Amino acid sequence: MAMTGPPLPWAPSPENPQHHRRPDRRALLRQWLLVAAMVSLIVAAGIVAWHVGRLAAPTLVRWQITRTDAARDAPPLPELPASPFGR
Amino acid sequence: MALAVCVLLAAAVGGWRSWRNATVDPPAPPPVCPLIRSEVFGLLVPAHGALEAAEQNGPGMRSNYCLARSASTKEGAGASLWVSLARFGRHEGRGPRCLDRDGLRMVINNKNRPVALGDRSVYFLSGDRETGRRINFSTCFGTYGVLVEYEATAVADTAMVESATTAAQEVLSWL
Repeated sequence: MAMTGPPLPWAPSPENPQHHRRPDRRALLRQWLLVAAMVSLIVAAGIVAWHVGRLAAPTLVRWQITRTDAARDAPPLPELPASPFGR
Repeated sequence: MALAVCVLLAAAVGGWRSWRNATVDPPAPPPVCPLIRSEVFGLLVPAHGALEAAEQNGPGMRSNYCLARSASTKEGAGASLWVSLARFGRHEGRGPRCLDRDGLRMVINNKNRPVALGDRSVYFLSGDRETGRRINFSTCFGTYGVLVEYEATAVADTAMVESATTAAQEVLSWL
């Protein structure tokens, strides 16, 4: 018996575009996973740097304090002042 | 390449934000009472009682003060000397330099007068001579800040300034 009309939709056919969709989805999934991994890496870098900055701040500030004060010479001890009363 | 730039950028932003928001307390400044000779207290605040001392700490700042006050002098006038020594760390994105942390006490008018001491020093006077003249003297020296409040009656302004400057220099000379 000869078949007439269009082929059945589930029948495999080289012209059927659904046949090519499977590899496209995988590629798309791979792309999305890659993008997600990149975003995660960027966020992780920000968070790690934030913690590093937080932990390093006390050491950096102590260094700033030491450097600031080492660059200054204290003034000499002043003479005893005269009594300000009755002047 | 773009990924490396983005990672570096994110790290820079993260590091900068934590550094900017960090609050770090400095090492405690030495107690201020022993930094002023007892003769100075005796001259500026005659017949003063026991010295009062206490700590006053804030975020990213540690300080302590010394207070001497007399009920009355031999002339019948009262006097008090309050000296505070502060040391600064880091807070609200501002570093440990006293000048960066608004360590100078000033009034919003044209009555702040400069004095050549430390990185920068200013004073302003208030009150009147009969009921009690008061000088607010502040000086910044590196990460240290010294505040002097001297109140006395029957004392000339020049003597007030000299007395406050001497007290502040006395403290700075030991740092």
